Amino acid sequence: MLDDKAIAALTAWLRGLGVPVVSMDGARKLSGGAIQENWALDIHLESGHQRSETLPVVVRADAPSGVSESWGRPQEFALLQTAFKVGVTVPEPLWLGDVSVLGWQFFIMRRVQGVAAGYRVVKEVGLGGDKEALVHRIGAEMARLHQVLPPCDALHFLPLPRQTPVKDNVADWRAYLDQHHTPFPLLEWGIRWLEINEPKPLAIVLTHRDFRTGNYMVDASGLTAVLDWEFAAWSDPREDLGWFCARCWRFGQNGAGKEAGGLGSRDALLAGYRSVSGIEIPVQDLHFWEVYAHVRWAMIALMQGERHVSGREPSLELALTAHIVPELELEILHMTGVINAARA
Amino acid sequence: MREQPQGQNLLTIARSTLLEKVVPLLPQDQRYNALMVANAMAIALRQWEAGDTWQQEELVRLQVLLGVDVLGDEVQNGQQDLQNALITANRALAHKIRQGDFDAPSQSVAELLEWLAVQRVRESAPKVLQTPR
Repeated sequence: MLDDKAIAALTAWLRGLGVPVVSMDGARKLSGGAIQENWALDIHLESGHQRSETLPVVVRADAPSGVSESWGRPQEFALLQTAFKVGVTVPEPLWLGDVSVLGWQFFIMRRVQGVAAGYRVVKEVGLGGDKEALVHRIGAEMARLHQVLPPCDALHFLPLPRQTPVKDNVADWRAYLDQHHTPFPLLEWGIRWLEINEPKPLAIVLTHRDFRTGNYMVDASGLTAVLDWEFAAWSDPREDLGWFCARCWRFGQNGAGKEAGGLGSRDALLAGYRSVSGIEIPVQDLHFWEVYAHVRWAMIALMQGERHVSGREPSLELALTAHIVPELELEILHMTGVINAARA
Repeated sequence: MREQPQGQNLLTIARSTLLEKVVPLLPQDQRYNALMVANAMAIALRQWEAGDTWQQEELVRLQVLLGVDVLGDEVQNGQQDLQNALITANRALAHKIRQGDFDAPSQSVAELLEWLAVQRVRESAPKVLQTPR
């Protein structure tokens, strides 16, 4: 809650850091975020000659509850800094707070204008500029991020894969299912398919792992910011490409040429990727990672639903997230050839 | 006797009232919550309408495929017993899948997997079944 008391505490803290804050106003809660709360705020800074300039920021703070898989604010701040330094289009991270200032963890980043809502980004003509060009740009952004390799001091908190990212997740998901009160044979099918179809791994890189339509902002000219870094990890670079293209993240745009985020073609995404990385990823390689994306999203949805089902955190949104699992299972059966086999 | 209208009828009229008379009056940022309420009511209605019918069929299909009587002697008819039997049968299926018994699924296995998915989707997100691929 960014009330007057919190704003006074923020002002004193920033002045203590040497930031010439004159005043702050315009605090308002931004929508979205089951894991975080985001507050817009205008900071007025002294800029000499009795003039001030306004710095529009977002204060990103812990929400009352969070997913255990996701990173806390100090880690997310480090991830944003790392991405910013390699030229990924992210909101500039400005200051990392601590619990003593406001009573909860937070950081402050520059506020960027744009629309994130996936259903608008895919449908509205002109939003995001030319859609195929936007997809190309997103491929290039991913490639910039994937230039970050382990070891990386700033990201010391990110564990390295124990085996490969796929094998690790297969083991972790099975362990989760084994202790769950309900069996999920169709998810088991998807996990088994991933296990026996795992491609030769590429060298691991820093991946966003939630880079999809809905998690970046655009304006009329194109991309303005890549958001939501709390699932980032060392992984196979194709995980980000597959996640972006997975049918479950196309916001209903399932026509030909819209496979990448419901916006454009896979080819445009891979061409953008190649333009920065020089790495040629065959389009057929994405199939495995799109199946992987559906299995991973289904497992996350199951875990989120369980927060409600267990009674730990009653929430209609979490309850409905559990009901996404069946449609993901059906899609996994389509993608892995089961449904063709059933109808043969 | 219980008073009419009962649960299914009440849920149906409550949901249509919510969508037609309440949602249009709500500010944009509150509509999401109301639409989630409507969606939850629709899922509950579909589950109520389906009853146990497909789950009983599921148990039979699993027993046929797995070749075992997972019900056991002690299990009688009843909602809780059906759920327990389904858990046992689905765990057995999951185990076989995990150990690779169905890596090259026969047509009957593939049909069962599709059937299971379709039953679940029909309750949770039936629009998906109408979406062309």
